[in-house]
Amino acid sequence: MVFSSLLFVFLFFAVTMLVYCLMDSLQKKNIVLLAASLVFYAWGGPRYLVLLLIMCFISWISAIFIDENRDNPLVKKVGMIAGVGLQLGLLGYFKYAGFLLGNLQKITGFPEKLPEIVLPIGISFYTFQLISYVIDVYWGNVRAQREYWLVLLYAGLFFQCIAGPIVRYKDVADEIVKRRTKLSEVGAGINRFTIGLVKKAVFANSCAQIADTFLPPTLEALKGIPAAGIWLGVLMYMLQIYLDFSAYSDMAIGMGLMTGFHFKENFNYPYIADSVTEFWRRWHISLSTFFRDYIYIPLGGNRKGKRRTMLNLFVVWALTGLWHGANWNFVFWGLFYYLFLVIEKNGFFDKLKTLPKAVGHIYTLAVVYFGWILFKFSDMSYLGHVLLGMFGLNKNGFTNMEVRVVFQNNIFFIIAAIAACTPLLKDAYHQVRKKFGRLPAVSYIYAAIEVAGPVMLVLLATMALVGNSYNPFLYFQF
Amino acid sequence: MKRKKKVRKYIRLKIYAFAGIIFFFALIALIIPLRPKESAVEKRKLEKFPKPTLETLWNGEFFEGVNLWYADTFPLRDRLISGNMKIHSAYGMQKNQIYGSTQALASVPDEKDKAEKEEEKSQDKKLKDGKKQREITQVQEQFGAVYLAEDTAFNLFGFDKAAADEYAEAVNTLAGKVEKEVKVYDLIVPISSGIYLDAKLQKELGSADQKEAIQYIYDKLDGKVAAVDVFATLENHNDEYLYFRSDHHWTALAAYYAYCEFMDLKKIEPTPLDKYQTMTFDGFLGTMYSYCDQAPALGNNPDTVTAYIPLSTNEMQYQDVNGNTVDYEIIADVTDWNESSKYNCFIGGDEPLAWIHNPALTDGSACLVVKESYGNAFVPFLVDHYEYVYVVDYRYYPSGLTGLIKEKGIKDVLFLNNVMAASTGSLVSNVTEIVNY
Repeated sequence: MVFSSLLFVFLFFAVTMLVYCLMDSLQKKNIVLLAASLVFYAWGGPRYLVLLLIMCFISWISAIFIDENRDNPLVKKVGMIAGVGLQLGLLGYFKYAGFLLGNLQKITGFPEKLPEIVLPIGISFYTFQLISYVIDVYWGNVRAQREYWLVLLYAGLFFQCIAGPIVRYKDVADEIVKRRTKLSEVGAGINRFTIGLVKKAVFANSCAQIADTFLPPTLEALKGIPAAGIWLGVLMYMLQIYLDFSAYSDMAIGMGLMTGFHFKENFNYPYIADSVTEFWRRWHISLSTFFRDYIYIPLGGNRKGKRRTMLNLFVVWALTGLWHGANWNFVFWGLFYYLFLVIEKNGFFDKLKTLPKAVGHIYTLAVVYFGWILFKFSDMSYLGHVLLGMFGLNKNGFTNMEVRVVFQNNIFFIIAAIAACTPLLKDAYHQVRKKFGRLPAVSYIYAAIEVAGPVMLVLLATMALVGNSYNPFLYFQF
Repeated sequence: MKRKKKVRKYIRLKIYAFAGIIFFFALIALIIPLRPKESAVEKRKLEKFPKPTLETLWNGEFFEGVNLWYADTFPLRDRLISGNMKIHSAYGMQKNQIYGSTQALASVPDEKDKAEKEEEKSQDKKLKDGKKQREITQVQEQFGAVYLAEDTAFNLFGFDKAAADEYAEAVNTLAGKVEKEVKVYDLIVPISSGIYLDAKLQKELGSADQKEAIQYIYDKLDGKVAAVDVFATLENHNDEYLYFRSDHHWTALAAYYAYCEFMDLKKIEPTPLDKYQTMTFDGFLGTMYSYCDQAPALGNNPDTVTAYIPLSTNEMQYQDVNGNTVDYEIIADVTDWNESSKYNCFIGGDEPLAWIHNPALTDGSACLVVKESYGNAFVPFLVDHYEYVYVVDYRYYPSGLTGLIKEKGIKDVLFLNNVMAASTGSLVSNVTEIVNY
């Protein structure tokens, strides 16, 4: 089930929240959340629920083992390696076996037939959560959870189980067993949830439609798309991927707030970054901090000399790429960023700071823009034709009627979608409130917006979801 | 303190309002009778609740089906969709729009989108008397891309040479198979974009030249086939209501001009238009309307169908796809039919075989029209000039043409096809089949 479906919002979410509120103790509330999460996860095919249960079991048992052997470094280490190793093994099998064997087949001709392994929903997200839990217990950052079902609740909680953010156990350990919902936070949660819903149902889906018009599925059709069409298509894809992904995080954070959980922010307006380094501090924050804390720093980070730092970064970025999908283009995409991060680390970052800010913004957006081209196309020949076509080298001309018409038809929407990727509206809203909020008239308007706003957003999203059968979910495969 | 209390009060209100809207939709979504079963505008049946089997439960297909059903049959669906359309119309300056991709015109034709593929059903039926029928593959007429300019939708034209060759070949084959005294005519009708849009714009939109396409086919016809060229006459009248704005068909008025050309060729005086009694049906929103996602520009300006009743009779009969014979009217009153069905007023719509007996004539003259839906508006004009008019829709006709021509003593055979159909492989293959049957 995806958040941006009518079934989720008006059946699953509604019923879960209703029953949740009727429960009088936290214990019961947690049981409701767990039951709901299991149903939610099983919706995509109950067989993968078994995998989730096994993964959580491995985590649970190895964390307890580590905790029991706190004072014996060697045994503790064995427990950690076994726990993490098993989980990585399962992730590797389900996510990367096909890819590895495919490459092996290309080189050696063996095996003759590739196994067809379907990627279980959300596996990349919850495996990382469970690994972080085991390692945190190993490091002594947090005590092991004795109750299996609470580990399951942590990893399987439907708020974040299938599309992030990757929540650390230590951040929610206390809240799982002891949390209070504040009225103001429920209000804030409603805002986040409804904004996320509209971001996905209205903005991301509309962007996707335009992107797909100019980035058609067949190479034959792509060759006829004029240069301006491809540029526009990639731009819309760039907007789509942010609006789509951050919408899920918004909804997760929003539902968390409604029930007393405090998840960390996963996005911080990445497209306003003025360097690639900063972009990655703002994009999918829970993933980059995961790689930082569990790979980069344990490898020695930047403390072991410049050459080792570069090597560590290389490993992190190759893995970051690979995490996004079992395909070479994702690896290239990760290494593409590695390249720019290394350049920035070697003096370009400081130089950027001396230049006008606009230069940094334009440079960053250009890097990110071309990055998404690498990210989107797994087929190398298609990818090549996209790049050729952008400069009119497919004999495709610069522009045509269709590009002009689609651009004109959506000009206001495109501007709105770009604005939605920046904090403009949010800042303006708060600025005005801060300055004039004391005026009675203004404060009434604000109260009206706060009360009626979420209702309007739900209506808007519902109309879009009913009217648009087009509702892709980009992050299912991660 | 007072301020804080006030803040708490409006947050409470906010929570109630949010819960209110969520539970309002949650409740009405649970009331099954409120769920629509089909969509009149989209011309399709909505998703049905899936049947659970052990396998679909295990692999999740059942749940996916529930998801689809829940969303597709959501109560208030039509209102919510039209609300969404209104929002979409604020996305930009939408005087002109393009639906579907013009790339489809350039790439391999015959690529149907998924919905149309689902429409295809292979049927291998036996008639009641046990005779085996031709296998019918239902193929809808296709729209590659549609250009919506203000309140008029234009179907853009993609030319597939191979299909056009096959079409000409089929017509030639029939002309070779029939007796000498049977005359074969071919009348290819341009579609609206070819008549209404200027050449430069057509080219920019990636729409192929229809005049050239028609000429290409006519050049391929052999001497036994007489081509009826209607392009020039329609172009001369292009300030008139020749094509619907919200539908891909031509109007009866355009069909009348084509009929005059045909009569010209046959050296018969056509009946003046004002001699006919007419029927008009307002509020027509045709195929383009649904193709353009019910664009308000079309929805606010529905078409009017005008039909001309033959002087001699308004009675006809047809054989439906199940082989039943039905008495019907040449021009039927479709006033009460839904807004998307008004073009069905002509000769009962698309039936495998229809025939009309003209009581005013006893000369035994008979003609056969082989058509897709473009022929429907045209046939009524022929009625007064033959004792018998037979109409075959090549997509549904279950057997061969030569047998019919012989059996009914038909002397004039008219292929009446729009240029899009005549160069669409999946349609032309049906013509080939009934010619060679």
